Amino acid sequence: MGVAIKAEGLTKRFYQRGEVVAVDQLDLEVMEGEIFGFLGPNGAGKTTTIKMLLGLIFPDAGRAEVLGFPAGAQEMRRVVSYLPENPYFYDYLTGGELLDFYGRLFGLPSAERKKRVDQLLDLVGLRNDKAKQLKQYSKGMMQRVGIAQALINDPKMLIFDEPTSGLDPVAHIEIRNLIESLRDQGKTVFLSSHQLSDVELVCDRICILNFGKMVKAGSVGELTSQGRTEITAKGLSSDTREKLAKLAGSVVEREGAVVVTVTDEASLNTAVDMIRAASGVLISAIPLRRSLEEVFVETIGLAGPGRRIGTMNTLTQDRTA
Amino acid sequence: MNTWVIARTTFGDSLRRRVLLIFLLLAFVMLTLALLLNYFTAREQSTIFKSTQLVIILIFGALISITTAVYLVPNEIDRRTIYSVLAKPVQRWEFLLGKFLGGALTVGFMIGLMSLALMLVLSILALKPPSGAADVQQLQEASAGVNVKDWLTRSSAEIMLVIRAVLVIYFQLVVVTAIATTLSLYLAPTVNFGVTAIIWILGQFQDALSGVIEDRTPLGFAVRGVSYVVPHFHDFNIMGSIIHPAQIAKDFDHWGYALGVCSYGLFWSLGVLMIGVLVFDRKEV
Repeated sequence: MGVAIKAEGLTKRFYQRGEVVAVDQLDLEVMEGEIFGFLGPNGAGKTTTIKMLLGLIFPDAGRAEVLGFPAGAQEMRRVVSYLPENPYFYDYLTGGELLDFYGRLFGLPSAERKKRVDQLLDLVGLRNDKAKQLKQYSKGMMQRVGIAQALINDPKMLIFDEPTSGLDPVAHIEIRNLIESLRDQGKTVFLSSHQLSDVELVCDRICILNFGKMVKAGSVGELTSQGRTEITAKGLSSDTREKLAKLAGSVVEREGAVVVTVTDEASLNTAVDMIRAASGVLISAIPLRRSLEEVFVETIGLAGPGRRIGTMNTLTQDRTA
Repeated sequence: MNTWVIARTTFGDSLRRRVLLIFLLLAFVMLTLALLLNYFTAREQSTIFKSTQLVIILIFGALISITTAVYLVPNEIDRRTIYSVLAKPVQRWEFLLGKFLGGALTVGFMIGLMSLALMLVLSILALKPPSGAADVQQLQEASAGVNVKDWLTRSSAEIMLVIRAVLVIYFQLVVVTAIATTLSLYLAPTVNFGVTAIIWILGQFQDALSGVIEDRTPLGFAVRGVSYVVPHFHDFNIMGSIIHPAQIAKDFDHWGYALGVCSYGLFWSLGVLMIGVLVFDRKEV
């Protein structure tokens, strides 16, 4: 698996009543074929980073490559697609005309364009609204046509900025499934989102950005793991319960079963062996996880003085990107 | 290719802007009002009417071109449409030229409509004898009914004059569109509107300003500086040769001058746009 995005020391400063470092020495590596979650509070520098990757703005320091091309290069933009946050398109066009417009920008021949437009409208469930002007589209429909335009060139990599923002629950699930299906097709998805539940469900790896710096990165499993496993068993003698209590520290009775929590793999194996040796019934051994939301709040909260969730004044004063 | 795709979309987008349609409507109202004015003779009607109409087309054309161009790029940034376009394999110069071309097409379409109305009215006016009741033979012809051949000759001559005048007006407005498009990369639309309008007005009065140019005062130097920087819009004024073609020297090449001044406008536009392209290439959006 090759590297889809590689950024080294990427830095961007803005000058608005003083210097603001929107992205600060960011090192980033996204592998081909994965769904990469790019998280962070408002103003963390996510959109600024995306814009630098696409060549819409230029870094003050550092460099980035996307699919082996320098960020923003013409060749790169042939194989990468982008869905901006809250996209707006020329609303006098119909859904079909809009996709045709973007297809023309890729130089797709007329017949291929026509076929592709119909396929994509089918894919995002807008076939029956093909001839409707975009001004008549709902927000969800607009988001879907935005995804369709991002797929017009059958890209190798997609950059989505808040693709599920403002969608109803059903549309939300549809878009999430669509993103997963893109990974199944071998495409790389770079997903910037505040919908942590979505990110947790679909992303292979994530990174959390705060004040332009990467503060945490890893696979979803690694980040949400607590390193503890909860074992549930039945039919244990009081002797075995005592042994388990010694091993784990405490034993809890829940609905006629014994629940014990161990903190490392060796204890896990010992506990399972004890249960089996005592002819008990092992019902489950479940690794305990935190939600990504908990990880996110904890990470942002620990990021530094004055950077905790809830200190809105500090956040809005400093964040402009 | 991408330039043309963007130009077409820009044209479609601009045509739906209400403010432009209001300008167009106002222009038609003014054109109609000019027709209803009382004229003493048919010749007077022809000359005053033509000059009034052409001035209306020029002024409303300028309003339309400035209003269109000042929003071409800023609107794309405000509405964030630019992100999804520039994220595609579109060169920045293709985008800027496409926006400009779309704006120029919009202006062309709008003044084309006004010109068609003017041509129609002039064709109707050409039904009358050209010099009032002075010519007895023509009066007799008029009372005997319309001589279709004469009418066609007169109306086609009028139409050719209008085409020449409007062509020159259009190229003048193309320069205005190029200036406003390039300035829109630096200035907010309202400021840009004012700056472009001032440049256009200064360019119209270069003849009047030339008297100050010899003056070795700070004002004289300032005016000289302005006259170097501002396009010579005064040269686009061919009203005299349109309204009183007979009073111009016989060997004067009307079409040659018109095409020459159009080429001047085209080169000016390309020069301004080249500056715009260089700026836009490194502009952060």
